[in-house]
Amino acid sequence: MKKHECLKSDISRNTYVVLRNMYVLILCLALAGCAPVAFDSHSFTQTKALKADALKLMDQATDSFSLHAAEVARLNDQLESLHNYEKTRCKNKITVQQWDILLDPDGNLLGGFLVEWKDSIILKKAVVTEKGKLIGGAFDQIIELESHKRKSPVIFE
Amino acid sequence: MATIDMARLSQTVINEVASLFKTEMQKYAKELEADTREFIQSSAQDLQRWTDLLEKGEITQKDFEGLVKGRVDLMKVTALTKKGIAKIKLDKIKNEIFLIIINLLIKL
Repeated sequence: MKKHECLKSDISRNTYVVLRNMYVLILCLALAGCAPVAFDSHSFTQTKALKADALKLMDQATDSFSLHAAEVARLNDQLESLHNYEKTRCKNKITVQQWDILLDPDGNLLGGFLVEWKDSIILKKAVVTEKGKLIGGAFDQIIELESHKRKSPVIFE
Repeated sequence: MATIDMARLSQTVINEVASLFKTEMQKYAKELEADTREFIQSSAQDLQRWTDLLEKGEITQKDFEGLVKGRVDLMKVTALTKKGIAKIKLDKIKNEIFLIIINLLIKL
């Protein structure tokens, strides 16, 4: 009788442990879904590099566009490449939206600036300087958001 | 069979989460307030500078409008940064909550 009770108690204890472990497993799976978006060093360094390239090229916008058309095309390719890379990253919708605004050719930041330069041939120094501050600021915002993303690995991701 | 004391577990989780949430949100609210104040000040300075440039004839009315629209686009990008950071912080808190619960369950 005593042996029987002991066996019953062992079974109950085992059931309890199994149930508890199942709880933990379910929570761990839920935890994976809540992991903050991960920092990407390629995005971070590329965004910084493209900011420097874009501002340097923008400084030339007081020259005729035709003198820098090839550089503008190259910059556009690099920007598009990074924009596409951002679209492939997990949980990265907000950063993609920022790039959409920055590169919109009908907008008023970098995309719009490059179109305006092409259409106007030469831009005024004051416009180039002021637009440079806004566009530099927009790049800084993208960099700031990236720098806040999770740098340490999360278990179960 | 041993049972999980859900009432005690819930209360412990609530206490720990409330404390964590309060600390994190207080920190974030202060940061957000300082950032917003700085952004409003810099926007006002930009508008004043562009008005001066327009009066001096260094930029046209169309340029001025383009700059103001550019400032609005920058505001949108900035708002997205704030939204993204808030989401990251919230995800971190959710992560902490799960870790608290898991740790408590393991200790049972």
